[in-house]
Amino acid sequence: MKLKHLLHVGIVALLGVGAVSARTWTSANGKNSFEGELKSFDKENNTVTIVYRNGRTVTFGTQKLSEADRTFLEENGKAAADAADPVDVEAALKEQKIGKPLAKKGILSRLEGEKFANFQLEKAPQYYLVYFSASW
Amino acid sequence: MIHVSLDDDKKAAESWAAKEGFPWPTVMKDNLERSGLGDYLPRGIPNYKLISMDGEIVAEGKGAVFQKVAELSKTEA
Repeated sequence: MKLKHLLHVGIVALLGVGAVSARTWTSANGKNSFEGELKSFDKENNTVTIVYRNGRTVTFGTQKLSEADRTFLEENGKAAADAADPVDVEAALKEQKIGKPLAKKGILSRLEGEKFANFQLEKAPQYYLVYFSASW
Repeated sequence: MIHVSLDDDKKAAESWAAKEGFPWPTVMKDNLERSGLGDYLPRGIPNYKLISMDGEIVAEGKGAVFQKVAELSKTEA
């Protein structure tokens, strides 16, 4: 759908769910793939934490990923993890007129499965694309 | 993107979001004032606003907002 595509562009461009971290991942055997944002990469223990599009966060061994994905982690994992440093993000949001109230606990929620759950911003964007709507 | 739901009924908002598969962080109506986004409430919905981190409205309306998004994306690329 065109609208959803445009909105996705907005998310990627403005909310800092950057092109480096949001990607399609493939299993080691190449049979399965899924979309998710890289949250952290532990090179020492060879584990990766990925946030699925539905908001669910999972951590697993990098051996479950394709060689291309493991190469990606080697080349981009640290930068992506640094960019998502929660301490820096929290401090940056507190400096913003828009980000400060949104960073308070309980203000934002996001779907987890079919229910809303509390959500904290993981990036401090320069711009916020705000969509006002209702189900009716 | 931040989705501001103006539904009075949270369950209706949740069902709609689940049906459409909304991936965005959402501000529910009962949190609108505390979120600071109540200051930007539009006269009608749906409505899009592009707001800088300092609170300035950079663009408003679907066409203008996405045009500005495209410009900013090029600048960042």
